[in-house]
Amino acid sequence: MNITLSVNGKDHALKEVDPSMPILWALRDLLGLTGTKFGCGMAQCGACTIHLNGNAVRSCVMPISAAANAKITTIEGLSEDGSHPVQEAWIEEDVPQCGYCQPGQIMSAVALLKDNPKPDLSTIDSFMAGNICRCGTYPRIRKAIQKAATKILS
Amino acid sequence: MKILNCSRRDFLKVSGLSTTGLIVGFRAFSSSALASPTGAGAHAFTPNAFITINEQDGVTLVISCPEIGQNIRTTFAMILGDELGADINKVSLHQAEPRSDLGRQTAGGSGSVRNCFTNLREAAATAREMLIIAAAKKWGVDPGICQTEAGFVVGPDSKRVSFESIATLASKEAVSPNPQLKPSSDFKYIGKATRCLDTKAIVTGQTKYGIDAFPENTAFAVMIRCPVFEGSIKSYDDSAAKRMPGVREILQIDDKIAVIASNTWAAINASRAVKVNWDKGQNEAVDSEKQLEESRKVVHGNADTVLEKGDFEAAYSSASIHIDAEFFVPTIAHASLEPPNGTSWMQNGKMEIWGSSQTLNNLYQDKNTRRGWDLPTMTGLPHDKITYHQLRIGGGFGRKLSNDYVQESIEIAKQVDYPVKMIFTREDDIQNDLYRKPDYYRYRVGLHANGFPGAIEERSTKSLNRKKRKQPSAVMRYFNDYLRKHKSVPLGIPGGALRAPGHNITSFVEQSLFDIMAEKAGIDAIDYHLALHGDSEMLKKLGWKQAPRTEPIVCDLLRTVKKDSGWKQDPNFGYGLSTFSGYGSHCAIVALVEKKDGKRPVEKVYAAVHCGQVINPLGAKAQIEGGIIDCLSATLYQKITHKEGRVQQNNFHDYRLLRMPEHPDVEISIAESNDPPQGLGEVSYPPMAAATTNALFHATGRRVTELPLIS
Repeated sequence: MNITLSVNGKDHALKEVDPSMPILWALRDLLGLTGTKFGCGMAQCGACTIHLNGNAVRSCVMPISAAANAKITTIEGLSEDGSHPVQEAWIEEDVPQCGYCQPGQIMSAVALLKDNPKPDLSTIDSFMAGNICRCGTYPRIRKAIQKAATKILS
Repeated sequence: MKILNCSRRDFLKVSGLSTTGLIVGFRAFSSSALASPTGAGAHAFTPNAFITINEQDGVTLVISCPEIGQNIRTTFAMILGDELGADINKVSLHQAEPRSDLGRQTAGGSGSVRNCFTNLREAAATAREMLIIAAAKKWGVDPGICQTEAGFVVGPDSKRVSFESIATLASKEAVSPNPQLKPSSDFKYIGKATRCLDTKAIVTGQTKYGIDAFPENTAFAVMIRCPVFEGSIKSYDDSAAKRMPGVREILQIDDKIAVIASNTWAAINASRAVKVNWDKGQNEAVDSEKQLEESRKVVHGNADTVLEKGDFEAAYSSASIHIDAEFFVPTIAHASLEPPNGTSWMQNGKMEIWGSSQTLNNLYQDKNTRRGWDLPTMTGLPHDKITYHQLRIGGGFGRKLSNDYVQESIEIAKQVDYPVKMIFTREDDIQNDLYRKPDYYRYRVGLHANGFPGAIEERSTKSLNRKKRKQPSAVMRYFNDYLRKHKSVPLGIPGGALRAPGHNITSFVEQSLFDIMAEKAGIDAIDYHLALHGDSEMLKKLGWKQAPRTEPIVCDLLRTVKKDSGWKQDPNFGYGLSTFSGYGSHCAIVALVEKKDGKRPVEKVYAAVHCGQVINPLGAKAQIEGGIIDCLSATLYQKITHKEGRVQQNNFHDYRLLRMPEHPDVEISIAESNDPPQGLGEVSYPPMAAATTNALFHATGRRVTELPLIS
């Protein structure tokens, strides 16, 4: 099957691909966009979180057939230069340790703030519950989301 | 032009480098370096790492240690920045490949900073002195009135020259044998909260981890491994799998099968279509439940006496308070978020490898595991025909101290003529880990009426090497009379180092036992720990004639954590105490568990830590906080079980990690100290388990002696 994926504003024509292939592997293996991470393959850890038409989805279980007419945004396309308020807040709060889960955390956080620009702590916690951080950066992720919310509102 | 600050012998070793400018070697390894838990630090390497300054690139710092999130790149840059007088935002960082002349190249044993701190400072100070002398000569002024600042030598009358402009002249200067280190009052970076230099690349998805290696025309592979440890292939049928779209090759490699395809998804699907007839061997009988039952029997039956001091039986029977307690700590897996992976490419008799190993020392020469997991053995090639690229590690926790997965990648590459990226799926990772093995302990303890530790008998079931048999465990050292009885229960599972190896079991056991001892003696846990560690007032108050241990630093931390936590002041919470000393550092933790059903398993954690001089308070706190959260994951949830030889867990749904809503608030106090910097990556992990279960006891009266808490 031939599928065109629109990723970060650019169209990519994929020829003779398995339509059931999760978007994750198309991004990483076919397009070389490795910012989106593999963690579990069953929507358990959130490392592969991307935006599909602006909504956070787990790209490890979402087939490319579901993205044929949709706009995909990955961590690489969130901003030109790392200037998205959530990225800035992540830098200012010094969030990452190993950093592997952080692209997924950021994509989730951006989606959270889009729908809920002033989330309280329990909203942050429950929305972010799908993103695992093995290094234990949760306290700083919380702070960074609060800071990003302030940045976006101001 | 290049000059080294050491001997001509060392100079000859690098004279083949084609860099111009100033190159300064530094001793990145000292003979007193502490051994890592796996012994990786104990090898002598020719000591040399490099600072390079040249016109093209300015200042380049070679980062000898792997970066795994311990923030070593930023930490080393800070040390260099202060001692050299460089702007850390302008220093290029080069992640080193495995070499013989870089000293310690291992992220393990909490040793990156404490092994390199002084040597890196001396190297930087040497470079600074040479740069200053060269500039002073050029200006015709006294070098004593010149200094360095943000990448420039600064002299009188606003004279300034950049390091790179003066580097070639500087390289002609004589090398001071005893470079003068800066006083700490001059530090701009060391001791100051400094953000990680790599964060922008991480948050924009630009950072490359091992799994992100992407050589042109790479193929993708997964391995089929026997579900039973050490099983072998009788036969297999890959005819259906071979016909699947995208599949390139299916290869048998010893007792594994590599499925190579044009993308990972195709490889995973095809691997499921390969039918393998396994000879599962003797480990098919491995059964965790049966092993646990066997362990329970063993600690009550006959066992060999392997260590004895004084007369345990006499001291135990004359004691006023008797405790008989058993503890079980299960098998756990590493589950680092970046699963093990490797990318290798064999062409024209040369091998190129991309990896994220925790130990480049072992990749250079594996003196450690004795499994031949070094590059020459694995590739069959000499070092000069191997190129290894070390990429950032997406978590390891000890898993990537074994380079078995690099070997798998290399074995695939030997059989094909294109690059192949091999990854473990999460299921592969959980089911083919090198596990933290379980242990079962029983203690009989006799205390004097005033709580003073009298006699202890330790019985354990995990195989002990000869050296460990003959050393008292940490808890036994608090007693005058002790006895160790030991009988191994065979396990039949592969083992490896996991964050704070050994300590991550024994600390739980020991610190639970101390809490039971304090409880039975009717003494507050903090008071009891103060006396155990030799606080003179507390010894007097409790009527103890001698101090079981003398650890004034631990006593200070206990007082700090008591004050910070408002110890036992809030009646809604149970307060649990635990302490740990190791990796040169000390840590005291108080955890708070809500008496009614709390929203979070542990509401709040207070940690007081002494780790010598702190280089970067931000990085230090991150390590302490991360260790606490990581250990809480294990304490609450983690358990690998085997049935009919197979691991029963699969992925994060049945092998859980702590999630955002469950994480406790953590408050950390780091003691001010001018002692040399010590280890931090594994200091807060060990004590957190008992801090949690002790808090649970004081909240609910339920004493947990088997982990995990929730299964």
